[in-house]
Amino acid sequence: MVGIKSYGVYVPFHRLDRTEIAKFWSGYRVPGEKAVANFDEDSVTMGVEACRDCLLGFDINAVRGLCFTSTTSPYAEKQSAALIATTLDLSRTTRTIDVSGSLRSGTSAVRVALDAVNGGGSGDFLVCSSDLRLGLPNGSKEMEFGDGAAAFLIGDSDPIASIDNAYTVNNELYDVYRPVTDQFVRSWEDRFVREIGFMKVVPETVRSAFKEFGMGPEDFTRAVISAPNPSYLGGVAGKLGFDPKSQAIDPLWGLVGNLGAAHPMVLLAAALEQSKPGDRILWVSYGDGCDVYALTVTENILSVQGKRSVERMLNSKSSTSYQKYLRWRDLVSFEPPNRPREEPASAVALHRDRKCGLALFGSKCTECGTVQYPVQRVCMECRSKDKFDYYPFADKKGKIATFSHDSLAVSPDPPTTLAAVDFEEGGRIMMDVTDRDVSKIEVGTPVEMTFRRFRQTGGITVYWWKSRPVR
Amino acid sequence: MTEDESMKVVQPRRDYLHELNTEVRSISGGYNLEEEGRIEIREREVLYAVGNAIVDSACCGAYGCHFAVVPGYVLKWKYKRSADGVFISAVEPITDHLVKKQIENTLQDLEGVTQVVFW
Amino acid sequence: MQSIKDKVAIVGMGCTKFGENWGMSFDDMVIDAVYEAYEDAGIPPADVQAVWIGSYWSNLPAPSQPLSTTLKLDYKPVTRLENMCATASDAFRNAAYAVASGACDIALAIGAEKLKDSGYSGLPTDDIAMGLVSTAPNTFRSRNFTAPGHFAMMATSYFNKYGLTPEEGRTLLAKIMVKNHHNGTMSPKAHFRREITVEQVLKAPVIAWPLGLLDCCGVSDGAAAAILVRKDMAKNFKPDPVYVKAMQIAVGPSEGYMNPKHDWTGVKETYRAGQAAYAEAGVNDPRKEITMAEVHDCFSITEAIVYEDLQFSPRGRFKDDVEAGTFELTGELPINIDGGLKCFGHPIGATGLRMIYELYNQILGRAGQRQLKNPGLGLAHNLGGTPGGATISVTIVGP
Repeated sequence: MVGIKSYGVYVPFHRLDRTEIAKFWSGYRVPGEKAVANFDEDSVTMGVEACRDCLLGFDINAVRGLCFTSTTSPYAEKQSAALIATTLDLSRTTRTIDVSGSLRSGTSAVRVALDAVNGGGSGDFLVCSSDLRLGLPNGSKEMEFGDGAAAFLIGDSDPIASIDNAYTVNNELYDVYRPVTDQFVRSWEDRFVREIGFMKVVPETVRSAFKEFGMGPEDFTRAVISAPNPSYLGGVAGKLGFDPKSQAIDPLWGLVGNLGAAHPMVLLAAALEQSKPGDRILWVSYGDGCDVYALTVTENILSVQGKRSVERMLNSKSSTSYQKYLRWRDLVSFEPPNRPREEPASAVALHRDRKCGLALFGSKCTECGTVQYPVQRVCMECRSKDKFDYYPFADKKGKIATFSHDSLAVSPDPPTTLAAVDFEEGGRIMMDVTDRDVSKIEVGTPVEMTFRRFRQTGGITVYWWKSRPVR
Repeated sequence: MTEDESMKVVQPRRDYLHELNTEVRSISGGYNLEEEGRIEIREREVLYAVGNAIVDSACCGAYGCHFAVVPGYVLKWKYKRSADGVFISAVEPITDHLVKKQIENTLQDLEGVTQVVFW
Repeated sequence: MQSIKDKVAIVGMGCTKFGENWGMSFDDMVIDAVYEAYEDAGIPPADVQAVWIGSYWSNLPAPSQPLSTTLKLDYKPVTRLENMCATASDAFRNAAYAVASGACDIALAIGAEKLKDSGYSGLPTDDIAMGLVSTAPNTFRSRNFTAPGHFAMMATSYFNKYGLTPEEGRTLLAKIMVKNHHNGTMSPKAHFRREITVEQVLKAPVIAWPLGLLDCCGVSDGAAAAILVRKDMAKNFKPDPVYVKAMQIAVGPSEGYMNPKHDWTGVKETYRAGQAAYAEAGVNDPRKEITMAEVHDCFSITEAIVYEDLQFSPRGRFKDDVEAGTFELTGELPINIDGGLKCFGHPIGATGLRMIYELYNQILGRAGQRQLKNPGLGLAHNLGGTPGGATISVTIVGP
């Protein structure tokens, strides 16, 4: 039975109250808040987080394909999937694919994964969607867009939800678009976008899908329809004969905003988290066409629901200010600190360091068992040379041994919280503490690892890891 | 520790010198406290001073901020003078985490400070 | 292993004023410091047989050869070296070892740094430091790095381990800063000479919690130099030469960054260099036998921890000595008599020799207003790197 074996979700720690934006511009007020990636996050780092959550408890060696989908990949030329695969320590022979350009890229990649798995012999396929889209300041898109990521592991055994049917149409339309040279998403006139775009294409496609599947609205426990806002969703759900109260699921618009390509993925994950065996789910995404899936939740759902990823991500949060948001997104030019120009990292050194730096492997001495990071060819404890196994730190939890809050360090989120992190199973790494409430950091605070962006110079983005209070 | 619990232990008492508009220089930078104020927090009077600091010659970078110092609850208001004739008040430093947070938020709104230093 | 004790004498020293020396180049400062040393030793420049110059950032990448041009050295060997913030101490060590070995009779050690030509208010580049703390060289996969951030972690750890509230801890550290500022007012060559009060330290904004603005040192330019000769020649230059009793450097393998056993309440390298230096000098009870010290007070907490690592105070008890005034000018064991880094700033490659210069002047009775009565053994402690991975030199000199 082919289907979804696991799901993973990532919603950034920070939320921005929409009234903060409205207050700043004396603009119109919209309720709710949106999820805002920290200054050290991008679509790749959020994608890594979602994949890690998805793969928790699964054999990474069975992952034979990774598809990263986003409209906001950090590179126009350079694959994010390969970077993510290395960070996750997937096999070198894992197929990596980036799919971009559409808000439907995540659900479309699921179709690719299904075909690959159905083709046989390909093992599990990981599909990740992540987006961090920008709307121009003081515009409706800025109010709407949130940041986040989700991942699904697609395979042909023990699914938590089988994917029974799939239906797709493509559609050429300038409703929402962004040229590669632009930073901000554009759109045509609202009425056109609504009436000729979403409100026309989605009902038409879903009706055709019903016909093809031989099903109707009454056959589904839940309809997961990814819509840019609640008004679109309400309109289309009614049109299709779904009861908005019992069948439609919360579009999360008031809690995290519209998460772009990741939105349909996060919504399905949220629906799965609330489902019981036997539930049937209709899953619909829109963008340059429409993807429709019919799923059936299986008994296996009970074994993965314990992690409550969506619930955890939604509940663990802290509010940030619009001023910080502007700074984090580089939307206002700040006078740079009077500091020396940053040198670019060496691509050669980054390549050598990929297992240690990206996948966060240290060493464990085979003579004395001491765990250390980074890899030490000469053991710090027993001084034996080249007697070690690689040792993963990314999945380990730790405690803050000591820390400081440094106002002198240059940071878009001052002060910089720096800590010596002691891991429960041994080892220490000196790390930044991100996504933290300064007043709550103490000696002994439990932390976990999170993959982050560090510096960007000469076109090269340096990624590494930070610690954060356990979410 | 809640405020009620912290009241049970004997609070240290400190003297606070009402020294304003006197630039304090050091090798790494300087600061100047410009104004004082009092706010009521949990039915007690809290003294604070606000000022500006510039870090222009520290070994590891530059920094500037508008900040507040909170010596504590007022115990005895301007009860004596220093040798130079500057008023001195007796204060009780604030240690309770929640009270500190409340004062921090209040002063951020009231004075637009980026940091609050507690004694 | 042989000891260097009493094999080498210092017969001349020089030191520029430390500060924002806008009007002086690196070369100007070197010339001034070296010629003061020549004059003090009463030797012509041509008598110098070998030269070591320490500088960390200045005149890179090639300060060795230009130095000969600057000083018109007479086709003698010149070597530039660095060893973090303990660079000048290592120049001194190399010169001392050369003389002790008999390879040369008269050696010159120079430490110099020109930081204020860079146009930046802090150190001229982060990248050297960032490279050091990166997971691998040239990757910049590193925590956000500043020195105050790292040293502040030592304060957090110390306060936590010994049960000091931040308020108590910060007040103790403030007292150390007040002491050094007071001493600095009596140092004509210091960069910063003004008294401060404990209250002023505690009212200052925080730079890196729990360290405030007045807990941190500053950026300065400066240069210092020493002329070293064989012991048996020393009296030809001076009736009262100062002898090198010990010169030890300990460079740590960054255990504090990697090993949970390291608790950030001490700097192991200081302890180890201190132990080695005490053994070399034959010091059994440092608290009693050392009569004065210049230690690396880049931050207030650094000096406090040095008291314990060098066994001037028992572990966890620097508090008692600070409260008793032990390390004040009039105390039992005066420390940072010239005002330390807090008043001289920290021209990276020059600081170590500036410390020795103060001990030398004290022993020769030339310290003016801050002159101690009958100084005996003096210790200079120079720290490079950060608490988790440091380069420490401990030098002991005496009459």
